Amino acid sequence: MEPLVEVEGLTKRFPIHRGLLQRTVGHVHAVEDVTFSIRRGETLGLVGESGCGKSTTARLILKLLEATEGTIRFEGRDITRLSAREMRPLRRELQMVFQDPYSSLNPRQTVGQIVGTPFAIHGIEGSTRSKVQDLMERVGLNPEHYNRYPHEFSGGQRQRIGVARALALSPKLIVCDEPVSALDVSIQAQILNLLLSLQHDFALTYLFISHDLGVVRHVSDRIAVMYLGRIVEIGDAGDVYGVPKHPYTAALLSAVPTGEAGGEMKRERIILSGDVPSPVDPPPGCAFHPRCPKARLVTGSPDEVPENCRTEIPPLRNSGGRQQAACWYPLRPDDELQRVVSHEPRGS
Amino acid sequence: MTSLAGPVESAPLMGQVVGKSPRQLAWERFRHDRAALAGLLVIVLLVLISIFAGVIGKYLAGHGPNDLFQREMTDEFGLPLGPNSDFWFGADTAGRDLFVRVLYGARTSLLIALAATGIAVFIGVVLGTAAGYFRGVADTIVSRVTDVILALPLLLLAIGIAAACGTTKEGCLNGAIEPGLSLVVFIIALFSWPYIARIVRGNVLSIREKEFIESARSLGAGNVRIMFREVLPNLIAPIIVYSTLLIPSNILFEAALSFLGLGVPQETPSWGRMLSDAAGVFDVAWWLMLFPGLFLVATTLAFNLVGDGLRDALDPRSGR
Ligand SMILES: Nc1ncnc2c1ncn2[C@@H]1O[C@H](COP(=O)(O)OP(=O)(O)O)[C@@H](O)[C@H]1O
Ligand SMILES: [Mg+2]
Repeated sequence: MEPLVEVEGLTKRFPIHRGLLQRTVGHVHAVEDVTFSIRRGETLGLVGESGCGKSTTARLILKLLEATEGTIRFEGRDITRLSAREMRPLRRELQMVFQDPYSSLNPRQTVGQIVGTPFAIHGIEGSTRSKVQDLMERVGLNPEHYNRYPHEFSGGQRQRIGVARALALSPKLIVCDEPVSALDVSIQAQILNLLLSLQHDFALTYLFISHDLGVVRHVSDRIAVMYLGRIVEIGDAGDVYGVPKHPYTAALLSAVPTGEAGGEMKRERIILSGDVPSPVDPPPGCAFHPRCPKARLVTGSPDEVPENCRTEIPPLRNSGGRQQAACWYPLRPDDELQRVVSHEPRGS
Repeated sequence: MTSLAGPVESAPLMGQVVGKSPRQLAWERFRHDRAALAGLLVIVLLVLISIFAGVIGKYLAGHGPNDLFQREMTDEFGLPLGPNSDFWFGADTAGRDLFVRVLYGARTSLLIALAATGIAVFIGVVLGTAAGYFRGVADTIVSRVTDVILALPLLLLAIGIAAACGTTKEGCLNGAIEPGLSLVVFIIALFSWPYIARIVRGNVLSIREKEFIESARSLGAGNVRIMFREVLPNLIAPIIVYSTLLIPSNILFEAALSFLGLGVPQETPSWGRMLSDAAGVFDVAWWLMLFPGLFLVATTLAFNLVGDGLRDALDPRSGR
């Protein structure tokens, strides 16, 4: 069956303007050559540290941003260059749940107005009030609170309002951009379970974004790991979590408290040296090479990495497991990454 | 700050809790602000005085604003006489009842200040919203124009315009601008809209970055809908506050123009003009300066108190 969403070579570079004349002096490489597809009815988890381009990817797919390069296909149709007007009917199919439950709801509108907005915009006939109240009930809000304002609700309830709004037009795809990151841990599970039950009831497809691997694991069928604007590993959740092939994935996973990630094996923490490089000037070759423990394992020296890591960008490809990884030296079961860097952190 | 600590996750079950709109919350806060309430009382009184100046003058004093009482109220040297039981505020240099003229002066002040502020707010909101929402060229033009106007030596220029357009009956620009009340309103509005535009622009710039704007866009909302439904409702509070604070400064602006003899026409009672009339004789006729001055101070103070009270009550941070 044809995938719901296909993204190919997606790239977004934000120009940086400086000086009196606002000349372009460089670019933020927010998203670089990203390719993946989302199958109908599945949840694709997109993980990576803050600033790696997850939200930008989401906004590109929803056409809230214009792609610099690449194509986005929805149900086989190329929507990359559609105008705002041409996009309008498609807006019903593609929805988003936002990260910040405070800034994502207009403080001057009642819940009724907020959840009713999609009906008003698309000129949908019939009683908006009863439709909105049905939605409120479905997401676990009291329909009698129709006339209340966002400030009267807790963070978790506000996120439910955001979910109701996204659900209003019966979309096919909902992009959830860190929908629980701003919430208390005790409330995160409630919202995640709500999303799962809605997916089941309405045959929804999710692109689920988070920097928290534990959260993504809980909801995702497949997982894509991003680093500095690129996807470094993608595959079924069990494969990526069980036997990660990219050293970055392994490092991320090792930071998740055991038990939460559900990893089969007990992981020792892999501490990466240095910080994430700036997306304005990403490292050549594999963007991860300056911090990569595996590259150092290959050379046997903490200060050296193989030449191709420094010069050639590794493609996403099958790497010994069922998933795909963008690495010249994908992990093998006997690699002991924590040994490589933990005894001699570079630059300190 | 009821929002964060107040309702908890189980709140859907507490159906009996009555919700309050942002407006109700603001009124709650305003109600407990005594200074602002006092200011509001003064403003209400002033509005009543302006509306019923004629009636009050007729029944309390029995005089009209331009009735001359040279025989009763000027001494042998032609100097006005002070307050007595018939002329509560005394008489002015022409022998008119100062009490009645001060009442009518309230009408002039409020009328001009409100009209000028209304026009300024309309222009300021339209241009400020356009600049902040569309940014780019629209923003550059609006921002430069406001910068220039705010940098101008305002009173000096106003004197220039008023002198050029106010002295001849035909006005200037081929009669497009004629002397009189509307000219004063025009001048004041011209110099005060940039304040509103600047504040509105700043607010729009920050609101347009909020996720709810992006959400509206992702639902397919167009610019017009986003501006009117999503952005403007969030601007009501600052617009109300800064309009209220603009009124007293415009009242003073009118008084200054009239003081300089460039404001309202000769026969129209105006506090500013009364003060300028008083300037020559205040050592012998203190009441000429005291009463119009008192009203002017009370009026501007009242509006400022209400404006500050509104700012505290409507503060978006405490309203969240
Ligand atoms: N509108 C923008 N203009 C310039 N740079 C941006 C913009 N949006 C995002 N960026 C930059 O792009 C990079 C990726 O951002 P983002 O997609 O928000 O990351 P994430 O959601 O993974 O935290 C960051 O370096 C960020 O600063
Ligand atoms: Mg993000």
